[in-house]
This record gives sequence, structure tokens and C-alpha cells, in this order.
Amino acid sequence: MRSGVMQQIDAGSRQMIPLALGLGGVLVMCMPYGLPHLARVMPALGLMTVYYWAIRRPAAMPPVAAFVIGLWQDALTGGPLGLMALIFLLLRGFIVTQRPVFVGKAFLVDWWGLALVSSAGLAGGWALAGVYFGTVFEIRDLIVQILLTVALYPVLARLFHHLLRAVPDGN
Amino acid sequence: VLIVVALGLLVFGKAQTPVVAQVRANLSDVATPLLEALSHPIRLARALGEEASHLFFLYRENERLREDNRRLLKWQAIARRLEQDNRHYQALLKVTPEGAKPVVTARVIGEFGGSFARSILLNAGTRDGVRKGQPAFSGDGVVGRVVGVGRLSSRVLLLTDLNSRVPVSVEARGYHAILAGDNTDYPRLTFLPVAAVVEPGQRVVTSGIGGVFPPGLPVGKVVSVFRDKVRVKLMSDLDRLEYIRLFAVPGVAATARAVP
Repeated sequence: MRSGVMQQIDAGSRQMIPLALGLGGVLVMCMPYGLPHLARVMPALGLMTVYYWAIRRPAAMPPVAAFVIGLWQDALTGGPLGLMALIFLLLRGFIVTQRPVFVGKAFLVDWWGLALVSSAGLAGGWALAGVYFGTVFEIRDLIVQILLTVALYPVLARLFHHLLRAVPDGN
Repeated sequence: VLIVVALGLLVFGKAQTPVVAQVRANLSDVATPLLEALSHPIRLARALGEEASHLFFLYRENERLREDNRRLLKWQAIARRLEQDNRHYQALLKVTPEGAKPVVTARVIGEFGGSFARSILLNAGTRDGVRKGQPAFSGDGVVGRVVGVGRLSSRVLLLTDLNSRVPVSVEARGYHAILAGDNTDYPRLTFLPVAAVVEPGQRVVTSGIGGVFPPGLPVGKVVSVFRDKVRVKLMSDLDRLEYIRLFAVPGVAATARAVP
């Protein structure tokens, strides 16, 4: 019995790995690097985390996790609270319905999917924020941010790949 | 359900509900120790980079400093004399001295843009005497003001942020204007008097109107005048802020709402 309980705790904490990665990724995004212009084109680490895990382990990236990562990012960045939370939720929902397209395919398909999803997500956030503040933001920053996000994904995916086996494939 | 919560937060946040501000401040507090821990290696790397570039430019830097020193000594003499004159006149006029004193010096532990906000997170909060509305100053000039305070952390809205409006005056003639951020590196001067003649190079300082900023703090210099668009280059490099001084303003400290 005892080992059963321990197993459950173990499995439960393993399920939390993607959430922890997402929250950590957002922290890394907010560090004061002291490099000009970096802050406004920072690659969207939180979004990439949601994308990667929603495809491979949807059970470990439930809507609540996507929501919490988004809210965390909103709170730290000082953007409109709830904005990225909403975007991440919608993206997570979309990705999960499209899973069959991606699961077990070549990495290029995965990468292509991220390019689409991050473009849609970041552009959506950009547009919503524009409506929220009643203005049009610099589109160049948005484009650079999308490009950096897409460029960084293979590196991040490689890192996450090492953790993939640690996270159980629950239903 | 979560989608509704997210939408609700957006709407309530737009209406500036204190609860939403509180949620944000609390989450920032949670992040503070983590960000502080993470920032050590980053600071080390930054310091190393700076050391290297200092070594590289040592000779030229030295020459420049010598030149600066000569010039500053001359200014010091002038300042001493003016100070004396000023004290004398103030005594004559019975002027009460300006009430702005720095309350706390804090370290920047988070900087964030995204493409739609310009703010930084400091490792000082209500515990250290930080209150909403306090002006923030780097060594070189005004950088912004405190817009959110938690117990351990506070958020400073930078002058370049879209929502930043600061009353300033343009030196030489003393034109009053509002320095308005628009998310670019060079905020604009708005509400200048119609007849104002503004030229690149003129200094911009806080005017003290409105009571948030003490008057006379350096803000920046006019860099470009294009029709009615006057842009200002800030004194402080907002991309490389490290330590920030916050000032208490008597009027603000008294009216600030206590954060539970």
C-alpha cells in the first residue's frame, strides 16, 4: 500500500514538470539582461512550453496549467492581466485538437506547427493588447519576436526531450 | 470556465479594480526571491563584460576623465558661489526647502517589454517604504514612477511606456509640457505652448506640476523637432538600469493607500 501511495505522489509530481518548466521559462524571460531591445523581442518561452507539452503530454499540460503560465507571465511583465492566460488557453485547446497531425511526425512538422501557433498566438496577443490600450503597437517588434521564438524552439525542444520520459503519458 | 475567468480579469483590469492590482502585486512578490536568485549569474556576466570593455578603453577613458575633471573643478567653483548666493536669497525670501528625499535604493530584478509595456521590477516593496506614485531615478535622470507595490517588490512604469505622462519643462525658456511615452525609445513632448520655440539640444527637466515629481530633476534632451512632434532622448539608458533610487514626495506619502 505504502509504495502505492508513494507511486501516486511520484507520478503526480512528475505531471507537474511541464507546469514548472513553463513558470520557470517565464521567469527567464523577465531577467534583467541589460541588452538593448532584448526585452521587447524576448522569445516566448512560456508559449513554447505550452506548445511542446500540449502535443506530447496533453494530460500534463491541462487547461489550468496553460492558464496559470499565462497569468504568471501577465503579472510579471505588467501586461494586461489575463491576456496571455486567455491566449495560452485558446492555443492549448487548438493544439490538443490538432494533436494527430503532429504526434510521431518528423521534427520539421513539429517546428512548422510551432511557427504557425506562435505566430497566431503572439499576433493575437499583440492585436488584443492594441485593442486594450486603444493603439497600434510596433509591428517590427512582433515580427522579430516571432522569428526569435521559432529560431529558439529546436534548442528548447532538445532540452525538453530529455525530460519527456520523466513525464507519464496519462490519459 | 477558465476562459471566462481570463476575460473577466481583462475587463476588471481595464476598469482598474484594486483586486486585480493586488493579484499582480502578490504574484510579483512570489517571483521576487526567484528572480533575485536567478539574477546573480546574469549580474556576474554583465559585470565581466563591462570589466573587459573597461580594460579595453582604459587609456582613452583616462584621458577623458582628466579632461572632465578639469572642467568639473571649474564648475565646482561656480556651483559653490551660486549655492552661497542661493542660500542667501532663500533666507531673504523664507523659502521652505524642497521636500524630496530618496527613501530607498533598490535593484532591478526584472525588466520587461513584450511589445506592449515598458516596466521594471524592483526588489523593494511596502516593507522598505515604497509607495505607489513615487518617482524613480537612476544615477543619470528620471526613469519613471512606481505604479504597483507588493510587500517585497514594486513595479516602475518607465517614461517610455505608452501610459506614462510626466509634467516637464524645457530649459532655457521654461516652457511647460507633458512628456508622453509611446513605447518608442524617444518619448514625445505634448501640450507645448503654441508659440514655443524648441530646438534639439535643449534640456528637459521635471516641472514639479502635479506634485508627483520634485521639480528640476533631469529627464533628457530634445533630439528632434519635426513639425509638432518633439522627441526627447532620456538621460538614463533604460536598457541598462541596475540600481534605482525612489523618492518620497510629501503629498503622495500622506495620501497613499495602505496596502494590506
